[in-house]
Amino acid sequence: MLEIKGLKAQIEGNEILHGLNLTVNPGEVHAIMGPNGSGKSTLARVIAGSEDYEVTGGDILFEGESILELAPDERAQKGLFMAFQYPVEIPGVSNTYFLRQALNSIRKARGLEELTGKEFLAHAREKARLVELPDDLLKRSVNVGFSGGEKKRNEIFQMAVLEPKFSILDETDSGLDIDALRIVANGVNKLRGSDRSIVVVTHYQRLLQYIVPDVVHVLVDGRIAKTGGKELAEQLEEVGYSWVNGEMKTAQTANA
Amino acid sequence: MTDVLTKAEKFSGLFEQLRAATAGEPQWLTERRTRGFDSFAELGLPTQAMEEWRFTSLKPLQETEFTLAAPGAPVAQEVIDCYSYAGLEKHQLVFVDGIYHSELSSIAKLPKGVTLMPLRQAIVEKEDLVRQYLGRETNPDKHAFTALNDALMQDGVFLHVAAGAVAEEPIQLLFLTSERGAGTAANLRNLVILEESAEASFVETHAAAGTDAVYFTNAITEFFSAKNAKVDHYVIQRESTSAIHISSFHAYQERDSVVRSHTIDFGGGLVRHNLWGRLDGDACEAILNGLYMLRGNQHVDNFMWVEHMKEHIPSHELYKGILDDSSSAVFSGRIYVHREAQKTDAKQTNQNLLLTDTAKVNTKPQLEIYADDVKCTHGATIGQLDPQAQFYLESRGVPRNAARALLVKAFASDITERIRLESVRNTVENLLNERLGQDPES
Ligand SMILES: Nc1ncnc2c1ncn2[C@@H]1O[C@H](COP(=O)(O)OP(=O)(O)OP(=O)(O)O)[C@@H](O)[C@H]1O
Ligand SMILES: [Mg+2]
Repeated sequence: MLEIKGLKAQIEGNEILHGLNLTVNPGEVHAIMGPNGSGKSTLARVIAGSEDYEVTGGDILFEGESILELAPDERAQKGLFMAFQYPVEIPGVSNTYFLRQALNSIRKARGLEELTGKEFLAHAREKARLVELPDDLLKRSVNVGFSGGEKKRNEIFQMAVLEPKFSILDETDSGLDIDALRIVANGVNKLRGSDRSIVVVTHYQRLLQYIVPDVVHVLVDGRIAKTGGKELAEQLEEVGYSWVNGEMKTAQTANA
Repeated sequence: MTDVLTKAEKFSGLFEQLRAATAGEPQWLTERRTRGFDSFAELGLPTQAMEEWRFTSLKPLQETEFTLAAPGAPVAQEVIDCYSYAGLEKHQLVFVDGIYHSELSSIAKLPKGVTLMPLRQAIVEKEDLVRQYLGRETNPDKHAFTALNDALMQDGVFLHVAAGAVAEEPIQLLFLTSERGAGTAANLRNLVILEESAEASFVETHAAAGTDAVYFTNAITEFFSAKNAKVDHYVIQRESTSAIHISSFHAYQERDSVVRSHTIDFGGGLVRHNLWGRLDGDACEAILNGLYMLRGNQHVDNFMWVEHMKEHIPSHELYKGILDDSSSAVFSGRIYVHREAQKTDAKQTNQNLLLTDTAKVNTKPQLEIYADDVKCTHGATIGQLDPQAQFYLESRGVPRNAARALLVKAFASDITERIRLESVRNTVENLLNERLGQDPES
């Protein structure tokens, strides 16, 4: 589904990703963990097509085709989705109004009929129930005045409405209380399927008890430093990243 | 050539021509014209050396020789339909090239106490009222465009609403410039008198109807709101991008009266709006809204002077601008609070969104306060679209242009939401969509 090969990306002249490799097959759920500042959000934003970053090497293939030349909206139309670590507040733009436009441009790109206001609302209400998002948040301006937890739920709500093939969720669990975490995880699990892939970026093993990953990666200093099964997350929780760092250093020295 | 231009000779031909055409007018009006003309000869056109004109060059006005339009130029019905608002056809006054066009106009039966007619007719039929009010709020000895308008005024609308009467249906005014209007100067003069507790609402549209050439509109509107009178006023300016449009709006308010004005600019090459408010009664209220969306080399200058003269008066000015390409805008506003004007609640805000690096804004809201118990704020911002907001929308599948359009419309929504007449609000929103390359709302 998604294949990242030797990806190098920089922002304002600082290289953050130093040749990152990652392959996610259809139907798989991966978790990416890693220390602050290691490049997890950078990876997510580069996949989504943020123009803040310059890709200086490698490639990102989605369903076998490079997406590096595509604009963010074209990537979304192909079925990519990123849940923001820090969802943006947009005063004056209503949540449903913009989301209908988003869904319709995705549908249009796929040759499907656009939804009428009424049809869309029915679809949106159903998905809002999935993440227990109160109805009045649908009408409000995007994320404006939402609590931290509401913002995160709104991200998963949008994901549910847009039904992407590949999603990367950047710390969607941060700032959620235990109930909200369960709701969000439930929402994500309902979207799991043989044709959908999900990458969750998280610092906490707790989320992974609800969304059980097939593969766990550790991202350190712009590279995938370690890959394993779900037990890797538990190990990390116990001993922290230092041992991964240690292994990395040894590996690098050995390479040199 | 150029030194002729700031002098009065530029318009003297027009003055002579008009004088002949208006020979039958009452003596006081002829005197007003002469005084205006003499004053204009003395003042000349404003220059950028004057503080109030610092950022607006009148060069395009100086460079053109203008003529007077002949009445009766044809305008196709489709053009009228294109500019008029659905549901407001009841009282529709159409002016073509500055002159009332009776065949294209319709005035339905008016409620008792409401008088609505072109100014030319009012000068004959309502001479006492016109004489009493016309020019009461203006100063032709100081302001060149007022002097010029006094000298050359041809037509406009006259509305009088007697005490307690209500003009229930909004009044629609279309000021169109026809193909024949190319190169003409139209001096419009509107007079609106609301007696105690009277109410009215107006929608004024200025538009080009078949010409891209330079023409010049110099409009003055005087509003008199007696005790407890209420008026809603909308100006939608859609002139051609070569047009020069100068307007002065004077509002005089007595106690408990309310004036709500909306000045919305999409058109015009060189545009200047002067807004003068004299709030001369306790607890009267002035809500002044503005929106300009410019592109190409359009230039719009909003000048505003609001005087608080009595107590407990709220006045709120919110002007928002969206500037694309190499367009430019000026905002200079002053709230002047007299010593007597305690408990003033004044707020003046100008916000601008620049869509390019080449668009320009000069903004200067000011307060001048002589009372001590007041609440006054003012502020101005100049910003760009938030790239993070844009990325957020795009990352969900909204194409770039549509995402920009959403953000621009969100910026303008403070103003569009204040437009109470639905058909006017829809038109303004559709014009925004059109400008932003989007289909009209379904
Ligand atoms: N504009 C910038 N200029 C230089 N460095 C930047 C810029 N923006 C981000 N960075 C750096 O990029 C690195 C990676 O940041 P990123 O947000 O991807 O980390 P992260 O792994 O998501 O961290 P966290 O766990 O805290 O969310 C950080 O060291 C950060 O300081
Ligand atoms: Mg991050």
